[in-house]
Amino acid sequence: MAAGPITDDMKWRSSSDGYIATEFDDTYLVFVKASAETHFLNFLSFGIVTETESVAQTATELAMNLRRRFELTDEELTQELVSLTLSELDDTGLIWPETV
Amino acid sequence: MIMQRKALKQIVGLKPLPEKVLKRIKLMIFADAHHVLGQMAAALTGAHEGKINDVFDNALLRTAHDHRMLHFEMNRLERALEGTEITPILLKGAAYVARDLKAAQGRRVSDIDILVREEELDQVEKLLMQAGWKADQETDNEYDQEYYRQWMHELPPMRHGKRGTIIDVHHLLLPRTARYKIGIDQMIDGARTIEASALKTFCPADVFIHSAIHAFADGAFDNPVRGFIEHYYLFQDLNESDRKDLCVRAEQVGAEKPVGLAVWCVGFLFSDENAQKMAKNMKKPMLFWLLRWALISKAMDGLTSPLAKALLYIRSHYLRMPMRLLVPHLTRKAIQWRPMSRKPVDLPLP
Amino acid sequence: MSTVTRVSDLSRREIRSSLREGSLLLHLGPFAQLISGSSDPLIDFLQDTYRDCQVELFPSDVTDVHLNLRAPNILRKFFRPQVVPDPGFEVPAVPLPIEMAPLAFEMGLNLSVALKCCRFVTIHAGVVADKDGAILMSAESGSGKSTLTAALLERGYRLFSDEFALVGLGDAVLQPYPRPISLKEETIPIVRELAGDEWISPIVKGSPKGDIAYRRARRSDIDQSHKQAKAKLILFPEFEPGMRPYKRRLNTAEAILRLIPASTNFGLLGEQAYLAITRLFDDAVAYELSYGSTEQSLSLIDEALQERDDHAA
Repeated sequence: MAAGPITDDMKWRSSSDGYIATEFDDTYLVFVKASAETHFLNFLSFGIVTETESVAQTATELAMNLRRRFELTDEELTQELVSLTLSELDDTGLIWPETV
Repeated sequence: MIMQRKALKQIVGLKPLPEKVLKRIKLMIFADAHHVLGQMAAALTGAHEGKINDVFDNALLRTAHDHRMLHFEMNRLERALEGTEITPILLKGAAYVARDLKAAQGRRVSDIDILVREEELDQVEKLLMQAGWKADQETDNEYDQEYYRQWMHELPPMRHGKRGTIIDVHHLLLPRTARYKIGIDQMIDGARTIEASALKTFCPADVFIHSAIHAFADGAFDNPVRGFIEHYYLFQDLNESDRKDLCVRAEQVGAEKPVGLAVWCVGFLFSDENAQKMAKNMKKPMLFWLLRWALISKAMDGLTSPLAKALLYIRSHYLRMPMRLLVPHLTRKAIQWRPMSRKPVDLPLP
Repeated sequence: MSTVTRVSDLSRREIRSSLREGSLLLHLGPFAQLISGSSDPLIDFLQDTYRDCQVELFPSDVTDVHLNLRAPNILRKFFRPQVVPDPGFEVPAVPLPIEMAPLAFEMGLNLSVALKCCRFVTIHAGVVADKDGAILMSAESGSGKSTLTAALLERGYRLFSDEFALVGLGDAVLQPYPRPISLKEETIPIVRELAGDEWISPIVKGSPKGDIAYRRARRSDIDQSHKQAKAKLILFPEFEPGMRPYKRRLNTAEAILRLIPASTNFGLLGEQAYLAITRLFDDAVAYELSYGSTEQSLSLIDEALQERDDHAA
């Protein structure tokens, strides 16, 4: 479930000030300061978080950038998977639409 | 009465703490039971030696959590309403914390209270539901849901499914049936946006007015010790021009009586000269003298007069609804046999 | 003038009158706890199981905890007397017959520490330590944690706590809180065998949790309760009769994720708690253990310690 309405043109954003992340074998233990929740993220989810830190991006832009970064094809990293992961990350408070 | 005022003054730091250990312990248990130990700690931290610093640290860690939780809830609320034009007004604790008022320092907060325009109510409820809030179990029955929607000034409380936090969405400051009619539109129009946020709070004078209404016109005064301390700090938070505003504003929105009483309480209980001067010229409720006695004896833990209790209880219902509604409601409550409010645990003192 | 003395140096009359006044101050580890509510079973229990603890008949300062052991209502004060722990906030405690006052006392203190004290990250765990550091055992009830804690005491370890690991905010150093070890049903004879009869309290029979007894903290545990330790081993033990001994090294992420839900105040402390729990692993390594006997668990711990030393070397 997302934390609020989601539209295709929303640009997503994150900030490394908001969490503490530690890497363990390609996975990430991420503590979110605002919620005091700890999440265990795979490289793709965590990739979304780091990717949106410097530039806010739409879901489509994100999918493109992630494919380039992890050298994945359209089939390997579908738009659907990116959008689904976005809404899950949205619920943790790790990323948010730029306008919030 | 004298002992009680002394305790309140000690809690806000206007009087030194008791030197005798047992008296000091008694005071801190009293503050804890009334959920104001954090505020006491914020006012007095660093000023003493010994174990008291541990106890204050402990209390401040708890309130730091409450405030962090509240900030996250505000963030989630904004997120849930993203893309709409709705700008909720934060009420009570949430407003004090968002504005970093003296009244927020060390204050314990559990729920978030917001106010929206009545015509926005349905949309807000729908959006919150979509973002994971649900009808709270306690009021998720036909009678309560119906009762809230028909007579109350707020939606039935909603609890977030994952986080467990409660949000109260108000569209009025008092139940629809209440005797006092408050100029809510004026208050909403005067609300001010919080920087870099879609959320608002009332203007400073209205913040005080709402707190006074909540305590003295809503009948929700179930923790007078905390309420008195809240009024005291909110009054300190007003600057000279806010205070002038307060008198005018109270009259404009039709809340002179509860505001008059709140200001009087600040003057009387905390010997605040500014409040004393101001209270002289303000209207007070008809039942002022009787109420004054009831409130003060209620605040004296352990010495509560049953008559005072009954008076406050009846008054709170009298304020909320006309008699023809009051009687069936009280019967209903008696049948359901549920606590009317979450009161602090009364603790036998050592 | 108030003075600190051991419970064993006080007369029964002194303890009774102090409990009646609600002025008995028990010092233990980082907490000062004010106790009120006198009853013969409670006095017996304090004189037996808390005999070496430091108390004051009249408090010299304010306290972290105030625990009142009171009758649930006026009737139950006199007629078939009952007792409930009242730590100053609402607790889900059922009234117990007065003979079970020790249980109410232990339960009340545990609830106070778990829910009210937040100057430390509190983790539901048994902790013991020697000069090299502390062993923290995080487990559900019934996993053999108490037996294991008691067994390690016989191996030269100091008792920190059978119930709570208190992790310092900032430095992640463990703080002793040597309350008696609570033993249920079939673990009572096992620990009696290990520790010797003189270390076990009289059995409280027929409690909601079955028969209960306590293994007393030793005077040396109590006298060293200001001496903290860094964790060296973090264990997630699991006991089941007949189980084959087994141990698995956990990576830090997994261990952290398992410690967090075992903490009673993690969400309350937030970031500070996360940092402290992370820092526990500066010196410590984590293992999951399963075993079918105390002997086996002790050998597994020896192996784990050896592995840790080899790794460090």
